[in-house]
Amino acid sequence: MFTKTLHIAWHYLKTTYGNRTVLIFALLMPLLFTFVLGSVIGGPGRNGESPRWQIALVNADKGALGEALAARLAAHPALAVQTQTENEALAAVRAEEVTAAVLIPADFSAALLAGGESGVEYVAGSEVRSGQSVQAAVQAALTEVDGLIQAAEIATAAAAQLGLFEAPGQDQARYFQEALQRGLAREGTAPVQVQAAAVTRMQAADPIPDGFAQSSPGMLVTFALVGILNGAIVLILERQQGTLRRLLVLPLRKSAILGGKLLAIFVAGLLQAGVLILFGAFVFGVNWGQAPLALLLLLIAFVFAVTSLGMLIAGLARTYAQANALANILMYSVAALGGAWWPIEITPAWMQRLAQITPSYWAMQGFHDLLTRGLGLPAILGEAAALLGFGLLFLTLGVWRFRYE
Amino acid sequence: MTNIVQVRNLLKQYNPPSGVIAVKDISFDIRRGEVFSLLGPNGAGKTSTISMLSCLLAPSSGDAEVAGHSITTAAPLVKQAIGVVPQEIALYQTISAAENLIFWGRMYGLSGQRLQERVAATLAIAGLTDRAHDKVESFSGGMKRRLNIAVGLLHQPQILYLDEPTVGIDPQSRRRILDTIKTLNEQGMTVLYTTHYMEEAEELSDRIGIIDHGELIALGALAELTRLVGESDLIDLDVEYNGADQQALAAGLQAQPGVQRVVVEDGRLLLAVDQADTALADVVVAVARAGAHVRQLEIREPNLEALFLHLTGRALRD
Repeated sequence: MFTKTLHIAWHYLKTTYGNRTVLIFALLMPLLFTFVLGSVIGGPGRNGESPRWQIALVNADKGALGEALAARLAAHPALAVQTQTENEALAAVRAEEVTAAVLIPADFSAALLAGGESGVEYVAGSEVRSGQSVQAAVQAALTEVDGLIQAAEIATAAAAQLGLFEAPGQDQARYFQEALQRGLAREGTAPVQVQAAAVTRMQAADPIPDGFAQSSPGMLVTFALVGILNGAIVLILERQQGTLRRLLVLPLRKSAILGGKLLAIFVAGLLQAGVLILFGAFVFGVNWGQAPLALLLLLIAFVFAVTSLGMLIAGLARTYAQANALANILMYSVAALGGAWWPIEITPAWMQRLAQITPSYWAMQGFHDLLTRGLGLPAILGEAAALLGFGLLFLTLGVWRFRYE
Repeated sequence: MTNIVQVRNLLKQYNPPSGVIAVKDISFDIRRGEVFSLLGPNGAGKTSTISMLSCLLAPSSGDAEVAGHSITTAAPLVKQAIGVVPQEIALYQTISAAENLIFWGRMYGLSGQRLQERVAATLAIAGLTDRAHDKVESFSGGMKRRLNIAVGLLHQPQILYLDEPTVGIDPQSRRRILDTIKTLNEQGMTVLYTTHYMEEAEELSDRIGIIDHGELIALGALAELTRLVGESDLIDLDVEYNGADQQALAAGLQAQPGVQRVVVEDGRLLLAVDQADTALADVVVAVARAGAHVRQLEIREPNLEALFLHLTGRALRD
């Protein structure tokens, strides 16, 4: 009997995806949407090749700290720094040739050493999102420079407590300068720069996914919903055109018929998701995380939940037109509400709570755990369990309500 | 001759206890090797009966044995013994005729060389060998109907059920299908055929069961059935009423000598008469006196339509 189930599944795949239009829709459309949305909401994001934001740097400070700040900005992997005069820099910002201009004042070193404000000016262009990222990078570099002063101050205070200074005022000032010089000299060899760059963006408490890190899983979820729900309502079409009735008069179990169809829909959904993941990884440079097993489990749970949702639609709808309407309403509302089209974090709190009733929300949370937060299998077990729960509920209701005639 | 189907007190009520009773306690046998037709108007209970005999629909009461197996307790064995050709074109339109037959053959458990042989044989029966690799969606209605029949023959069933297989096709395709059924029957295939076309039942059947409102109201060979009508002829009148009252005219005709029964059907008047040649003149005069006139008339020998009229008081129309 299982052989017949497999024949039914294979037959479904052949009759459905033998149609070139369906195949194109199932694969090319999601890739196109992934590219367009990914580009609109922030380019390749942190998962692709790092963006290089152009900034104009004006360093009027002659001291070591101004130089240290300039060196740190120049070394930042996301920044391409052009040193210019103030007029040139401001003109470049206005002409949108650079994302921002950073102006280091002449008394920068003196002010910092005196414990005052740095006086660094930041002039951003109109591109808000990039501007924020550049500002964060500048702030991180400033914090590092300030950290050097603090380290020198702490070292000096410690030396004073140990009674190392014979003439406290003079020796202490010299000791501070030496400590600061040693700190500056270590620039480039210490891992501080890398950590500081990461702090501003990667280790935020709840990072918002952007670029292809949002659009790739988002479009995977959307088009899995579209493909699978459209696939499931073929059951209604088969009922309407009489092929389901004909299958029923053959020496076959009902479970073999329904099992074969659902198996095919499930496999087609998994294959589609697999292609989108591979394409995302190799063409859009999406990093799908470090836990392939976790990714596979999440995919299986999600595709199972959506296949079951399709079965539920087939169980509830009486006609193909009804099923089609229901599927269309569900596929887009579930995708949007669950955060497949934009980061759920930017929606109001009530919508985020409401989103939890959709399988797409749990799938997107799982994908973000893997892609954005860099987590592994233990982190997505909850999401996978929620999806499997949805799947079992929908499947039970769908099979119970399904009418073969 | 042994019976391949034995139907005993079969009853089907949808949504009991208050739902429609589609089949009312019917019993009949089908003999091995014969063509048995269930003739009746739309909604008479033909499809419900064939669905129960296909194990697609559970009877509310009663039972039937097909090829020695009960439809209520041995459905898988019954399904293996029967070939079913449904009323609708139950085929996959986007794949070829051969691919359809291969799929359905596999569902019957056929494989390998045997499957290939049966696909070739049924394509030949359907006259579609040269179109084997064309997509079904490119076929005419008649070709699809023939392929629909071919699917039912794949596993060489002991009995073939055909549920109104000629609905909605052109006369040439209908002729071809009827000839195919006759050929199959000549080769030994038992056939259960449902139709509401009297001529098809008359042409094909060894025996006919007339079914109406779920009841089997007559059963027998064509000659036996027409004898039930007696010597009646049937006069079919197409009348231009010119404002005359239809019912009054029917009542007037009913009062004419030699007229047994008058039925109004879609504006036409059907008269069962003792002898058409003697009654005709009086009938035409009566119509003229009522202010109407006869546009067209047809006289028919005793036939199943006359029998249906005789038994139910209604015409057997498409």
